[in-house]
Amino acid sequence: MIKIQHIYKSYRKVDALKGLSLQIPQGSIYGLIGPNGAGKTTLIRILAALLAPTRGEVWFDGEEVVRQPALIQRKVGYMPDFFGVYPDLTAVEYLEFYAGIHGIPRKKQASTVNDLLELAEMCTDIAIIQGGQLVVAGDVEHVTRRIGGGRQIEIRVLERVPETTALLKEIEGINNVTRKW
Amino acid sequence: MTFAALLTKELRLRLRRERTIWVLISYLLVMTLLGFLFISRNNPSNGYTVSTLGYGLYTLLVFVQLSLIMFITPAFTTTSINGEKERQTFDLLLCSRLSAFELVAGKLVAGLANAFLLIAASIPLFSLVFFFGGVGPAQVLQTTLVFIVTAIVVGTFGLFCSTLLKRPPVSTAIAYMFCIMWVITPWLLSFLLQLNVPFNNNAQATLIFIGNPILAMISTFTLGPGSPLGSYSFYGTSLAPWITFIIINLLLTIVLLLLSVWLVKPNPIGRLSRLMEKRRPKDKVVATT
Repeated sequence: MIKIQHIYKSYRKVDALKGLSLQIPQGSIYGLIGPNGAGKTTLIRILAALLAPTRGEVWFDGEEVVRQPALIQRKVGYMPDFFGVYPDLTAVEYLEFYAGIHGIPRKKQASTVNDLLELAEMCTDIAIIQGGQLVVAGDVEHVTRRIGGGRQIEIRVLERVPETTALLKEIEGINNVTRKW
Repeated sequence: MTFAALLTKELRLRLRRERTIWVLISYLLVMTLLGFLFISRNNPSNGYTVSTLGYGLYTLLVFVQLSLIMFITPAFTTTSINGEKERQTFDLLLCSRLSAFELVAGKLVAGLANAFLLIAASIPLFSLVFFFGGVGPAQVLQTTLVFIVTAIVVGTFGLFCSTLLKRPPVSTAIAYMFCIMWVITPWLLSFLLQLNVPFNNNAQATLIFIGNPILAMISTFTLGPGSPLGSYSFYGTSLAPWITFIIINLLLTIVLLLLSVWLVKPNPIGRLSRLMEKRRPKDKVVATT
């Protein structure tokens, strides 16, 4: 459950959030809709413990976000609207890296990555597991900078799948298959 | 495991860049060229014996290598953290199981691995000195330790600048300024205060030069009995300048590393003030829908 109590966030003279209060019960899906500059990104960054509110409190499963940022960040799946990719990693290496920093054991990484790529139809004829090793070809082998923008967004979404519990934003540009999950 | 994943990614990215191989090639070429010029100009017809030639070559290579380490190592770490922010990948690292220490240590180890690669690559060149003679293995070991500690200090300061400053060009400039000040300041002060640089029993000069890499490197050379460089005395124990250099700079490294760990996570000032204030009892939220 997420509980937001009278939060304010100011950037110098600009008030991004003014006394916002909100409760999001567990298991529910909420969408934040608003024009540019309405404070959507600010709110999501506060919920992900990436930004501290100027005033007010945010609670996530009974823990205050600003007091337990590391704990909250482990629970939250966060996908920003603008993001970068590492230019010289293949899609598989990219996903394995995120699997690693999200604590997925090395033995499970190959199968997890393969499942995710299958989900995105990136490996219909290209990812084969032989003797526990992932043998790849085609799109998956290309470094991320050579993959088109839409594909990069897909990879970014996929990397969130194992851990996502709460937050996802800006899914424009993702193909229908990826959107399904 | 999270640390290993970050380190693997960093090493992959760094070693796949063309720049890495060109830096390595240029580094070895500069050292080789200077060494070759030295040998070709100073031959036995100029009054050089084989052992003095070896000693001279070693001296030249040591100071060229020290300068190159100070010049190149900051480039490996000064954009580690703020580069991630600029690339807009940093938030995703924060929202993972990586702790602040793992994040900083992973970046530092990857950056230093590049510096150590350069040091290791120069070992065959240094081994040429043994062919001429005049230098002992103990001296080479002391020199290598000074190289390694210099790389660690400069690399850690670069990483600290990267966590502290938002813009990569600014953090790079500050790190290089630190390197220059670190080397030059003691010599400048000793000149302005008219201290004797060979500082036997001079308390002021002893303090000024305590962390200086150039003096530490000079002290690794065998200067014979009654060396003008003298030694530092701590609680009755006499320590050579290169040993105090290592101790002082490793302590500085630990401080910089801890500061980087604190600064790398969001809202460091807010966290500090919360740490200072008395921890209030946790108010558990009762779910109300």
